[in-house]
Amino acid sequence: MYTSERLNRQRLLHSHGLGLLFAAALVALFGAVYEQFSFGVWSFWMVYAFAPLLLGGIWLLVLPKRKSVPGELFLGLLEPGLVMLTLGMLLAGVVEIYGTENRLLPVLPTAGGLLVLAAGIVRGAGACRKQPRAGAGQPAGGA
Amino acid sequence: MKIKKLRLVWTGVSCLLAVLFAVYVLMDTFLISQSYQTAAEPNLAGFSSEAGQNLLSQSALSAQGGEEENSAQAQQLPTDDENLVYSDENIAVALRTYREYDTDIYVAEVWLSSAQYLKTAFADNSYGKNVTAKTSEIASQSGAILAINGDYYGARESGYVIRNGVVYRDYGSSGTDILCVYADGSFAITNSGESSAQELVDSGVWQAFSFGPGLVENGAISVDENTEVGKAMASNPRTAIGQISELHYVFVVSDGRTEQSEGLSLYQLASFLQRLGVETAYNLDGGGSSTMVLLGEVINKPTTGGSRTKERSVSDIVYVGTT
Repeated sequence: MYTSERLNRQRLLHSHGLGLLFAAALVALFGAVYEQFSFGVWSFWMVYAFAPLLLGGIWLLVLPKRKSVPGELFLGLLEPGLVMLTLGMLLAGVVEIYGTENRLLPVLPTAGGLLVLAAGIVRGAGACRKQPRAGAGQPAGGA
Repeated sequence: MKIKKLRLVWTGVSCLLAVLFAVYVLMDTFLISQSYQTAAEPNLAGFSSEAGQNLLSQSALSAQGGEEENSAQAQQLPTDDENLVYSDENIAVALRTYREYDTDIYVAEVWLSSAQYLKTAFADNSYGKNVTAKTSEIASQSGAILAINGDYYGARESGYVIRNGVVYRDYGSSGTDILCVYADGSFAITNSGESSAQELVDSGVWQAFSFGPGLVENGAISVDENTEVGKAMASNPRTAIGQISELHYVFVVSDGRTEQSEGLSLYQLASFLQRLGVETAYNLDGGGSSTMVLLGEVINKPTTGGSRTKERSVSDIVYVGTT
């Protein structure tokens, strides 16, 4: 991978990581405020809805320091996956706190979980792939 | 660059779809009304001569020390209770208000000549999802003398729904206490894993509620201080129903979430019911749903949307009435 391209990707991952941490803080704040007005009713899903974004953000901040820097495909799977997981958890929290049920609740967390898993596989495959030597004129691919 | 654009488009579209789906789920949960069927005519088969001969109700009666004859005529309706607010040849209702645990508690004591006067009704006379109306409106449409909110069956997708002898939902949720009201008037708390809904009706069940938990069984408190509905760990408005003796019941509603009334924990509610002398008592839907209507008037201070005093719309009511 060219050094400039690698640097760009590192910056991209860094900024997306910070963005996810900021989003995690907002979701945690939302969860805390929601619980405050729930008359003592709490939900595991609402309390921990920030966790996927937090872990995803930390992952993105750690990744640029690794030898192999993931690319667009990885981000394209991870971020929608994290959004779906978080939305699914918030939804489950709202429904659980109200004391009701919905058969569609598992859809978003399942879809989000699969996308995050796929991002992990893409990342794993990219990390395992033998990196071309610098200057070989062969830029690294998607993962 | 092209790949980056593709990623941005894909991320935007997938996130938008996820948000739209979440909005749909919220609407499906709280707004979209689906009527599955009109309430059927009451099934009075359980009130035949065979009524009440089931083992469960018999054991419940014997647990009360009763060898009493199971007949409508056996019940003597009171006439001299100073709190009596309604009385006819089949129904008597006395209303008492208590102040305990910094909470106003409303107790309607009910005597019936037959359990067929202990009835239930659906909002808009329809069994369905998100089909709701205020307790006072359902009570008015049903000609109820006394009514409280029911188990809000419409908020859940499982749990037996047996009303007026008719099975509306026959899939239970495991581990949920079910209150069975038999045609002989006895109460029993069971679990959905023990019998199917149809077996319950065949054994004489007239009403079944799936909310819970059971508060008092055989005169003993059956919840501990940490037991709660879902994950509610605070005092709340509550609704409960209990049986004192044969065809003698209490309908209990407590205020809560207001400056005047803190509300009750389930253990406090169970302790209170035990002191009233109930043999069996069961928790119904509480919180903003908790409402008691007597002779067309809302007795308690229901809270909806926080501490505002306003009735919440519910799926169903439990009431006493002759119509």
